[in-house]
Amino acid sequence: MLWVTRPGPHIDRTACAWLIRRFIDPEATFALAPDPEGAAALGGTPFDMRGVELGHHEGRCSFETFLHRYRLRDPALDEMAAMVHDADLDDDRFRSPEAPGLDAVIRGLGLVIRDDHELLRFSERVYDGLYAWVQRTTR
Amino acid sequence: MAALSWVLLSYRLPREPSRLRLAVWRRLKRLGATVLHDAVWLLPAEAETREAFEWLAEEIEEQGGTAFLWEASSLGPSQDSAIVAEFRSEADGRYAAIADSAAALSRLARRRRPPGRARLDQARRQLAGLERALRLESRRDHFRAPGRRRAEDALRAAIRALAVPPGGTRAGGSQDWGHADAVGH
Repeated sequence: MLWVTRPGPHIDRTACAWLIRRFIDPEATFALAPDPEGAAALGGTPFDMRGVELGHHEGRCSFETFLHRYRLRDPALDEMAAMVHDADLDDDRFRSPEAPGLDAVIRGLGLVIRDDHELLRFSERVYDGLYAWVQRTTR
Repeated sequence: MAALSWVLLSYRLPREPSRLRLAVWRRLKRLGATVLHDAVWLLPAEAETREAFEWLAEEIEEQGGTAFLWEASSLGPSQDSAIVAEFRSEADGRYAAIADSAAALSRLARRRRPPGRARLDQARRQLAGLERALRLESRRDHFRAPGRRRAEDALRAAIRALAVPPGGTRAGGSQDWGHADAVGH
């Protein structure tokens, strides 16, 4: 399936791409478009864009919306959602101690990896590692 | 100074529930936005600030409100200077509060009659809170307000003043180090 998000991905979009590939659609391919119309023109499912279902809703970031919409029940994913939420919205809702560090790592990767597709691929390994790490304590 | 670029947000929310109005206001303050004439909120235009305003506008509309967004540059550099000065003065106020609290903790540690263990522990927790507060301020301080230095210095002084004296609380510490050394070889 084709999934479409906005160019210049940061924390929420990179984390969503990882979530899609690992838990929703292992065959996922990604494309970039600035808005829902662009995504529709490509024939893909838009995420983390204004005015789409898989975006920010009721104070949730897109990653949390994915967990909710696809009923992914996994304490390790909840823990990651807290990090992504705090890093993305910076509202300290979950007081996640990892959030500022994760935000710095992903933003830093965005500075050295200018190709969005490469950034999505590369950051997957960061989230793989993070997931393995939080699983140790949430099992 | 070259003309700066700004993102501007103007919004209206239903009067009730007031919880929503408060949540949006808090979010704007958290982003370090400033408000002109109680009507238009603004931030320097960057990918991040634009995105933050876009999501906020979306949430406002979801809650039955209306929101308008622009990206704009001022006609006239003096207007930019005045706005930047306003951003800095708001940030300086918050930095000063942190610096004052840190200085109070330093004074506490240096009292002639030293505070008891419980009061010291409390002071260290307060210090950790001030460190978090300073990190938040630095993130939302878009124009490097001069007060940041003073707050950082005051916090460093308080960290030194409240430092655990060597061997002060950790009996048997030397054994731990011996073990670490052994592992090191």
